[in-house]
Order: sequence, then structure tokens, then C-alpha cells
Amino acid sequence: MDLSALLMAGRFDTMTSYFAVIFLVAFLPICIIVYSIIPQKTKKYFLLFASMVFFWLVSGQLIVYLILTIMSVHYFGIWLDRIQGKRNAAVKAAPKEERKALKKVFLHQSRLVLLFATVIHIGVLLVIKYSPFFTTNVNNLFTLLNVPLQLDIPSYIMPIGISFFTLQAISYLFDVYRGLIKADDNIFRLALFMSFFPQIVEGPICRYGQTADQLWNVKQIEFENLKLGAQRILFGLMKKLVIADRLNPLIKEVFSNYSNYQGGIIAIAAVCYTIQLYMDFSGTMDAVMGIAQIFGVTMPENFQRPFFSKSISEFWQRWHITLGTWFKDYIFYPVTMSRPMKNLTSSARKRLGNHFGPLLAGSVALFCVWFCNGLWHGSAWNYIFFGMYHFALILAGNIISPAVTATNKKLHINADCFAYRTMQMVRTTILVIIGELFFRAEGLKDGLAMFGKMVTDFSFSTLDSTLMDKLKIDVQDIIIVAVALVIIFVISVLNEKGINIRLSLKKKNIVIRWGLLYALIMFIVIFGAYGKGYVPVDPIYANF
Amino acid sequence: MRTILKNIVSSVVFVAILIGLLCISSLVFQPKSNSKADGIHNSSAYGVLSEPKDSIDALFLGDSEVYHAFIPLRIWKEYGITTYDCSTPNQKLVYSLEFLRKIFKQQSPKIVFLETNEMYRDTYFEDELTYTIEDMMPVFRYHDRWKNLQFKDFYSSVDYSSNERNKGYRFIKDVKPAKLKDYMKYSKVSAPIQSRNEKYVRQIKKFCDENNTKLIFLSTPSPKNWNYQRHNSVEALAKELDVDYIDMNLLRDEIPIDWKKDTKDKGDHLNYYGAVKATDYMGNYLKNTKLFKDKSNDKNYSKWDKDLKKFEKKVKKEIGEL
Repeated sequence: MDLSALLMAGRFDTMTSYFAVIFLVAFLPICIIVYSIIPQKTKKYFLLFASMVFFWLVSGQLIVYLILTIMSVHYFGIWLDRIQGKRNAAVKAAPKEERKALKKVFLHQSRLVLLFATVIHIGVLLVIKYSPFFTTNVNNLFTLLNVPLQLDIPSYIMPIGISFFTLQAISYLFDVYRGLIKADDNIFRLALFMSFFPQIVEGPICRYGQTADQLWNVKQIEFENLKLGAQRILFGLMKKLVIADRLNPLIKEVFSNYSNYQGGIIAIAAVCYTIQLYMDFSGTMDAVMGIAQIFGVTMPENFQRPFFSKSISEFWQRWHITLGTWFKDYIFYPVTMSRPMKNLTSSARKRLGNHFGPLLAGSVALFCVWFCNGLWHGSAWNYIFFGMYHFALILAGNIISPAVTATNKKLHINADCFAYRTMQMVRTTILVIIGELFFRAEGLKDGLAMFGKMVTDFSFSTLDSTLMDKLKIDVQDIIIVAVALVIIFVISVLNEKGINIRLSLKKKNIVIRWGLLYALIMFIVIFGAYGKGYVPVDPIYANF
Repeated sequence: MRTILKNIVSSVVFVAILIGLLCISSLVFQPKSNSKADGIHNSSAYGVLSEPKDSIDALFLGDSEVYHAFIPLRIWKEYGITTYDCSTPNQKLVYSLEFLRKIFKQQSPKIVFLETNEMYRDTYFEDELTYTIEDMMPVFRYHDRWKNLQFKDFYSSVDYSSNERNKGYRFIKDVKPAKLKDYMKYSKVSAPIQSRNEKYVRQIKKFCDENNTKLIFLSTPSPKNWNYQRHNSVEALAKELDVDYIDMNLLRDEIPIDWKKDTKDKGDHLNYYGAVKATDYMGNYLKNTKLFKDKSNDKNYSKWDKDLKKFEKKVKKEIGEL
């Protein structure tokens, strides 16, 4: 490998995915080998070095953003910690009657520091990611109002993973502010927590308390972890190559030229996109978890079989879990617990009762969460619509839940029976697919038009071999995707029942274990949609 | 210690069996002929492997610029010199070198023309890795043949004997005029060639030297892809490597390309009318090297005459003239 030329080049465009050949065949094995042979004391520093090299190879000079974020978070954390230290000493030394006032003074100081740090980090994200969107909309408004002024639309190159590592930075600062963790005085430990290479591109969004110590106290690679980690990477590879990438041509064609297709075909494309998004993202997470496991690190899971959810609310507890919990901890609770919201809750409780009263304040917080959630996914109206759509569904679910429970009771419907639960899962899945249609559409206008076609022109009459040729998919492709989905479904059902397939396999004899592994590898090698004639789907969540 | 040893042994055995499986499946998935019907990629370029041993005088190596610009059968008709377009879409230099090695197992051309557009198509480490893996285990390149596997794929051996009638040339008569703006406007500036690409050019030169073959850099006419900055760099490299360089973009009198009629896609590639002009120049150039005998009357090359007749028939049918 011509490393000097590689470093001179600055960017290594082909390694933006954990499934890239260069990553799986070169970068990761080299990391594992070097990590295994270097002395124990240096392993953590090597992981940090490898993480920085990885970021450099993917984003080139934009690594400056990451380094500045790490430095900023480090010093703001120490600043917050010092204020808390001073507060503790001052409170201890002060007479009892003055302690409350003193605490208030220091709390005010801490809040200002936290606000300052948050403004800086969110500000950078806003400028880089959202200023083109805001400027475009301001220009549209000017046009609408006949104001003869048009602003220049800025354009920035985004460092990969900025939406993820910024959220990790904010969570670290909030946790220090809340006294949940001590500020880290070791910038290298913090840097490793922020930049660990398997998670920097697409998450999961970890908390300092979850992974920082694990990463800093890494041990020798264990053979068991190596095996289990590699198996999980393989499973992710199957999701990505066999399913997500194989569906890509169909999705691309229909979403780009939806006006040429009937509503039924658009519905098929929406279903395919939902499958693709899940397979791409959860497959990547499998790779991330697998790689982390190889180094003996356990990361928080991001998916828990979301399509077994019985409501939209539950769906979001099973889909992109670390993002959901981040919004819950750092937006929902602070908003709910703020003084105005507390006042609103208590007055609403008196007027609307114990169910709808708290719901009102909760809904305001929920609105903030879903507005931010939509915007986090991208700077476009369809993403905001996507957030508002889910807000509306969850809010509607909360409002009608007492009525549904009462109706079920009156009609003697057993809500725990299989048929009812299946109906709930199907309903949730359909709602999710509609949301994903807007999510994938090339703008809100297109999303609405596509949805309109689904409603007004729901037909499959044009679905024939000519159309399938145009969509670059044939019966054999469909069979392969179906087989892969059945495999994933069976594994998901087993997981849902608490059976860990990898651990269960461990107990089987070598013929079954190796046989299944070889079958999986050959299944991916032969039926994967890669190579000439295929355009792999870009890592979808890496762009957010 | 015993556990470590056990783990190492089981890993080695696991990987060895896996490699065995990949090798066996490679034997199955490798196309058994060089015909498109059997699923080989770039069948027209691969046709060179079916030509009789040491029967090709000169090769044109490169990307799509080549197979749109040179008509080997026209050179055959005029001068009795055998040439072949060993070009594939988006060809990168790493592939050119590997392809050249494969061709030289069967052929010993006296001249290899390396089209220079690919010097400006960046090569990544991933390209090198992918080509290496795919060459070692063709199942990674041809895995998609699972849809069309036949019983013979499980027992037949590879036989590259399928004749490619046009000798790599792709006939296209479409016309999409090009607007010329600063085409080959003089400049002193040089457009740098990626260091990795330069490395491959040097390796190709070394390979040709070792095989007593003359390497010539060749820039086909293309306002969309070529400019004076690129010309300067290639010229400097040619000088350094002691390689002849023909930049057809500067030979406007000798090759009178009419960019309103002779391009199929607004100056990216030539169409048949442009290819005739470029080919006539190259045919004359080859003749003037005096390196080649006119083999028009050689019975061993009668197949070229048959292919020429079919080609001319097709051209006549398509455009009504030759």
C-alpha cells in the first residue's frame, strides 16, 4: 500500500462505508493485527491513532472539525467541573442559610458555560449543515414578498459523521453539567470516546458512561470475540449486499421518475425503500457492533426488531434507539421539566384531568423532539414533514389510547391475542412506510405527489416484464431478496424470544457451525449485488 | 498456550477451506468462453485472446475513446496490418497493465498505443485491491452469472476462441455536435497526472521494453476530455520515458475532424465518420513505421477478410456508404 501517496491525497473517497473492500480487506485486518502485537499499554493509543487515520482517510483536512470539537468539549467539561468543585467547596464553607443562594449563583454560572458550549457546537452544525437550507428559504420568502434581494447560498463540505459526534459532544457536556459523570481530564480518553472509528460514521450515539472506560481499558483480542464479531459483520454484510444494494436500482428509478409510474408501483418502491433503509442502517450497525466486539467493546444497540412494534411510539423505541434516547434525555426531559412546562402541566391537570393535563406539556416537548428529529435527518422540508408526521401519529396515539382501551374492553377484544398484535404490527408498518416515502422523496412536493398517486391511482396493471426490465429487477432478484428476508425474519423471531443465534450456534458441533458460516459467506459472495453493473447504495445515515 | 495453538490451527483450517470453496466456485463462475453470451465482461476487448498466436501487429489500449476511434478492419483493408482495440469502458491503468499481461501470453505486438485519457482517471488503492482479488478468484467478478449458469459451467474448461468480428471497434453512427470552446488553446500550464497512475505508466513502459515492444502514447481527438494542460504533462512524461507521443488533437490538418458531424456525444467520443479519419491517419502512421509486412494476401489471415466483408456490409446497411 502506497501510504505516503494516500496521505498526500488527503481523502480516500472509497472508504466511506464499513463494507468497502478497502476497509474490510485492508484497514480493519491491519488494525487487528497491529493491535494484537503491540504492548498492552499502547493499545488504547493505537485505537485512537487508527480512529484519527480513518477519519483522515475519509474526510481529509476536515479532521480539523473533529479535533477542534474534541478540544472544545474537553476544556468546556473541565470548566464545568471546576465550577462544580468551587460550588461544593463554597457551599461546604458557607453557613446553612446562604447555601441555597450560593448554589443558585454557581448553577447560573454552570448554565451559562453549558449554554455557551452548546451554542458553539450546535452553531457549527447549523452553519455547515443548515445554512444553505435557511438561506434558500429566506430567498424564497423574499421572492414571495417581492423583495428585490437574494442572498448568496453558502456551500460547505461536511465532515463525515458531524451529526453524530456533535450529539456525543453535547451529551458529554450535559452529563458533566448534571453531575452524572466527572469531566475527563485526559484529552486522549475523551478523544477516543468521540472518534472511535467503527462508530464515527453512523453511530451509535454513545454516552461517555457507556463506552469511554471500555475503550480506554481495552484488552487483548479474545478469540471468542473475534469469531462472534466477524459473524456479526457477515450478517450485516448480507443485509447490505444481498438486500439493500439489490433493491437500489428499483428505488432510484421510481423515486426519481415517479410521474411515470402508477400508485401501486410507487407503493412497492416505498416498501422496498423501507426495507432498504432498515437493511442498510441495521446492517451497518451489525458491522459496527461486530468490529467493536472484536476489540472487546460493547456498544449500545441501535435496533431491536422495529417491525415487531405495535405502535409508532414503540417503533421509535426500537429504531435508531440511541438517537431516540438522546432526544429523550437532552430535549424531551429538559423541556418537560422546565418551569413554564411544569406550570402548564399543573394548570392543565386541573382543567383537563390526569390523562390529558400532563399530555399537553408532554406534547409541547414531543413537538420539540420531532421537529429536531426531522431536522437532524436533513435540511429539507420533507425531513421536517417526516418529523411532524411522526409527532402527529404519536400524539394521536396518546390522545386516543384511553378510548381504544375502553372500546376493547366493551367489545371484549383481547388486545394481547396474536391476531390483534399482528394487526397492530401491520398497521404500524404501513404508517412507517408512508413516513419513509416522504423521507426518501426528492423534496416535500414530490413526496406529496407520490402519496397522492398512491391514493388516487393505486393500480399494478402496468407491472409486467417490460416494467421490471426498466426497474432493473427480475424474478430471480426477488427470490433472492425474499430468501434473505426470510432468514432475517427467522433470526429476528428467535431474538425476540430471547434466543441469541450466535451464542446458540456456539453449542453446536463444528460441522453445523462451520457449514452454516460457509453457507452464509458463499450466499453473500454469489448473491450479493456488487461489482460491474451495480451501484451500491451510499451509506444512508452517514449523510445525516 | 495449547488453546492459542488450537485457535490458530482452527483459524488456518477454516480459512483454507474457505479459499478452497472460493476457488471451486471460481471455476464454476468463470465464463467458459470469451463471448458475451457466456457472460464475460468486455467481450469485444477480450476477443483479442481468441486471435491466432502472434497474429496481431499493434494494439490500441485504453478506455472508450479507443473503441470509438480506431477501426482495425479498415487498417487491415488499406494496409494489411493487423491491429486490435483492447479497450474497455472507464478502463484504468491498473487494468490496462493486467490486460496487457494477459494479451502478451498469446500475442507479441510490435507496437502498443496507450491512449492517454486514462492517465487522468484516478486509480485508488481499492481498484488495485479489487482487480487483484477478482483476478485471483473470478467468482468475485462473475458471481452475477448465477442467474444464467448452465450445466456445462460445472465441468467445461475455459476456451477463449470466440471470434470478435470487429476487432474491438464499436460502430456508432449517431451525431451530436460539439461546441468548441478553447479546445486545445495553448497553455504553458501542466495538468498533473496522479502519482499512482504515473507508476502504472512506468510499469507498462517497463513491460513493453521487456517484451521488445514499442510503447507510444496516443491522445485521440476529444474536446471534452483533452486540453493543452494535459498535453503538456503527457508530453513531458513521454520525453522522460523516451516514448513517442501522438496528440491527434493537435493534428487538425492531418485529421480534419468536423466537430459538427464527427462526434456521437458532443465531443466526448468520435462516431464512425470521425473514426474513419482517425483510423486513416493511424493506418498511414503504421505503414510509415515500416515495421509491418502487408499480410493482405496471406492465407493465414483470410478470416480478417471475411470479417471485413461482414463489417462493410453492416456499415453499408447502416449508412449507405463506406
